[in-house]
Amino acid sequence: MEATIETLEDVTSGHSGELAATGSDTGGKYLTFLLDNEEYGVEILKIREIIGIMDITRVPQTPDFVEGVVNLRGKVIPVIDLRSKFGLQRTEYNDQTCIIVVDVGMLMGVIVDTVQEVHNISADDIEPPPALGASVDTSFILGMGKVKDDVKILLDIDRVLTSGELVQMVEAVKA
Amino acid sequence: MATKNDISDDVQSLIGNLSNTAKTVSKEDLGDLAKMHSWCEALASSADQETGQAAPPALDQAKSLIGLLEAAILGEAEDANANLSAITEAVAELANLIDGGASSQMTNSTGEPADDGVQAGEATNPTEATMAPELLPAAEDTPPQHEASSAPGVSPPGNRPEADAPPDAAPSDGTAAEPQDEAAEPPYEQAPLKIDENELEFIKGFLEETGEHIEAIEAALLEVERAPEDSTHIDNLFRPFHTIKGMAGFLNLQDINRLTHEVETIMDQARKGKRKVTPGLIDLVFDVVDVLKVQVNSIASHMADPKGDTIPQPPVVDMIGKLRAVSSGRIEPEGREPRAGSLENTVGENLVEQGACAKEVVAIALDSQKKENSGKKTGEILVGMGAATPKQISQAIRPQTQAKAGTSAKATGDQSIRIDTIKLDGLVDMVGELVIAQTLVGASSNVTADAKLAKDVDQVGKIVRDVQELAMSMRMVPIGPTFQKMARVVRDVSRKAGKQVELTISGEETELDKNVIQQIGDPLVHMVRNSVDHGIESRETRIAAGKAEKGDVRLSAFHQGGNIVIEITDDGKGLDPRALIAKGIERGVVQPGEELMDQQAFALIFAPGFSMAQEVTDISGRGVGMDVVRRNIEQLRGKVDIASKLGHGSTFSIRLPLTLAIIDGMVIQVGTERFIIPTITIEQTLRPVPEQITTVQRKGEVLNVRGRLIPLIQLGALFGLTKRVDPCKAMVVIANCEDHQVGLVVEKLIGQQQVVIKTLGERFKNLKGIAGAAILGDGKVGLILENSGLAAAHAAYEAPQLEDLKTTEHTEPEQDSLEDEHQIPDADSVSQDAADQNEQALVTA
Repeated sequence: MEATIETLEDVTSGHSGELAATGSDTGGKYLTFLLDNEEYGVEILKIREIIGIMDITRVPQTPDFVEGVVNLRGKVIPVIDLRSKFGLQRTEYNDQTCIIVVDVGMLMGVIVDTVQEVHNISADDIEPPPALGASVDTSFILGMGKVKDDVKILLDIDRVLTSGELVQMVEAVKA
Repeated sequence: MATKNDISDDVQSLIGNLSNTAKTVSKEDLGDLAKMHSWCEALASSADQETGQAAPPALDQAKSLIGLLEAAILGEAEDANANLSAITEAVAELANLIDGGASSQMTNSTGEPADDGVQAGEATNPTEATMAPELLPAAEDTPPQHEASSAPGVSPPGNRPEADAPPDAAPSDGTAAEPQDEAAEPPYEQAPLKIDENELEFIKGFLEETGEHIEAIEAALLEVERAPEDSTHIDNLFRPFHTIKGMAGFLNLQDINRLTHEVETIMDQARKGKRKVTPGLIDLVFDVVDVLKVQVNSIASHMADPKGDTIPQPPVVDMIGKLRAVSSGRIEPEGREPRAGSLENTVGENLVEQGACAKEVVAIALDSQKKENSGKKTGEILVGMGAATPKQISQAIRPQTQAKAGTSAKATGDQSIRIDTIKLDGLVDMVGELVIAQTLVGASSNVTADAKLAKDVDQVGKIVRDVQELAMSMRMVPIGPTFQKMARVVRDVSRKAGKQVELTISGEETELDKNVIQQIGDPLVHMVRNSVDHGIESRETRIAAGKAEKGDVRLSAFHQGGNIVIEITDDGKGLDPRALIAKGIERGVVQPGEELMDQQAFALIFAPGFSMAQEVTDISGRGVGMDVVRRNIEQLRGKVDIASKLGHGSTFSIRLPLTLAIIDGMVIQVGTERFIIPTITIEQTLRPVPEQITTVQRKGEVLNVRGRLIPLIQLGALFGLTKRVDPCKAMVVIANCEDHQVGLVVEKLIGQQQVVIKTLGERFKNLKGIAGAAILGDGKVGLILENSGLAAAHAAYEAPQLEDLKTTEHTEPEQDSLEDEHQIPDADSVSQDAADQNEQALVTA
């Protein structure tokens, strides 16, 4: 796996001028990305930067969704595989694969299939998460954002990343 | 001592405080002015309540004084100097109004016994002039009311005044208080401490600075003890106390302010030669420093984690009471016999020796100096008495001044600024990245093709490395102040144990990472204490053994091969390996019949609960300690070695990394991942031969290295990275893990490298066996292993049934990745031992 450190700052910085205008609870700018062909969105204020996939160091005693740690310009930050976290099928990483670095009290990287674009979604266009049955954990979902005819799943990224321990108890590390 | 109960004691004390302060106050002394202001208010309120109809003149005077003080504090007075003298006059007037004779009891800053008040009237102090009779009857009327109000207020030390203090006894600054039976001084009332949010920043700064001042005080105290005659040292002592007092007053930290004020009073007496500098006095000041430390700590911990409105404060009432008693001459500070020779004695003695005047005359002069408290020198008095000529005096003083000139004060005041360590760490991080980025650029084929460019890039590389070194060095501080603290420990312990011990310090300028310095303090204290308490023999034993009476403890710091070594050497009785082994057998740490080398026997003292002391003293000998010491030092990635010769003394060497931010690491590979093992924990690396390996239940493996059995940890399997590998096809790194060794089975040794340690953060803090991360040369992250955590993880790990290594030996797929040629030089750099093993292994392979 070759390290292709590629900063897609234009995605975030290009819209940063309008960031302050976001007012209501959930309305605002969302960065959307694909995960197994589903469209998800993360509030852009949480996002620090987007980097291409790079060499990731595995950390032992961690659950499957913890992909490992990477070197973000001298800082060592944990990286989560979001497919794995949501119980989706893992795929090989390719040049579309991105790490979204988010600030959830600490910096963390989130691996997604591909980053799409930034949408301005007003609070009126956001509906509360519907009941999807017991097999879907909706606690991670902030709401369903409607953009024209599309529906984006808006994530409460803090909850996604801070729920669940990153380290399994040693007793659980059994071959 | 005569006590006049006819005047309300707190009124007396307020007036006393006022007049004493008024004598020295200047227009810049806002703290003092503020204090005077609050005393005035207290006075006004107590005059108002207690003296009823007779109070008006005093009350009016107090009120006008308050006005003047306010003007002075706010800087509103048109002519500050005139205002100041108006204040002084007003204070004198007020004192006259209230009382004349009684104020002689308040001379807390002069050390004058109260019953010598006869002469006090002649002094320049305006407050000690005639009485104001009109207030006396009024004051006499008050005792019943006063007693009623103050009786419950005479609270035990530490008792909070808010519940039971009478209203007049708890003015804003808490300085006024209740009468005490026989003492003229009112006891100090401790007020609950609150911190104004607006002042948080100031207080933070204050705490930091106070820490430094306390260090300066301790250093100066030891100097004073060494040369009590030298007033420059007392000056050095006086200054930091004064600064603390001023700042505490400004920040309304009343306890600290009062405490330092009282010490200052005593020190002032010493400075002016009115008080002998006795060991007892020095002890007393040390005690005060301890109280100060506790206070500073409690404020600091409150600020870090506020609980409730007020800050718990250690009781200072006792200490202040004691200080006052000492300063007023009522008691002498306890201690050994006062040493002969303080300032005025020497002058007097010199005079007598030189035959200038008779012993009796000097005695009279000293006596009157004591009584008058005029601040006059003995010489001046003698001249005034006509008993000696100025020339004789100056001859007598000469030996003193010569002695003074010999020990000049140390130059101080390096220029420095304070920087938040987070910024420093950030800088170190960024520079580290710069180094990696620069290396990547330098390795680029475009660069290597262009000679000029390559040269320039090389130049950039040099600069970057210099910057890195500089950034690292910014965290470094000299170990000197920590050693100074040890001087205090040696002093305290040796006196407690009744031994004479001389501490010699060298290498104070050696620099260590600030974090290391902070954490090495406790273990050092422990070891120094042990050296004095256990190492150095009693005086009798020493003499019998033909040693110098005085024990010798040396503390030194120096660089050695990229590490800092701190050595604690004593010339005491040394460690007895046989006694240690016997004790070890008794405690079950050593098996009877087990042969131990001296080194191994010495290492027994690090076993938990292992104490060689025949009896437990209150200083040491409980057997808790050395194991903690070793653990602390290992946490700093350091090592302790012991060298000892029975009867000749011991040397404890602490080997520490220069900084906590960087470690020397051995980079190893397991599967596709690279890990870093701190080099300091590595004993040797080797490639075992099959005969050295014993399997247990086909699950565990044990390596036999010259009779030592070392459990093997299969890193790859433990971390779920690879299957088990045959140790004979891989490498084994034998690493120290607390008091035993473990063998880490790794696929490949990549080489030694200095790495900057990065934390993995809060979310990963439960990882067992991983101490942190580091950025490797290619920019990828490598995890740093931590041996005892590994051992714990290994203990919890259920190994799968081992396939028969004998049969899979030659089909093991991992062996393809092994490149013997690379391993040998790497291993060689670790230890010769390993290389030998390797060669042996290669020959047999």
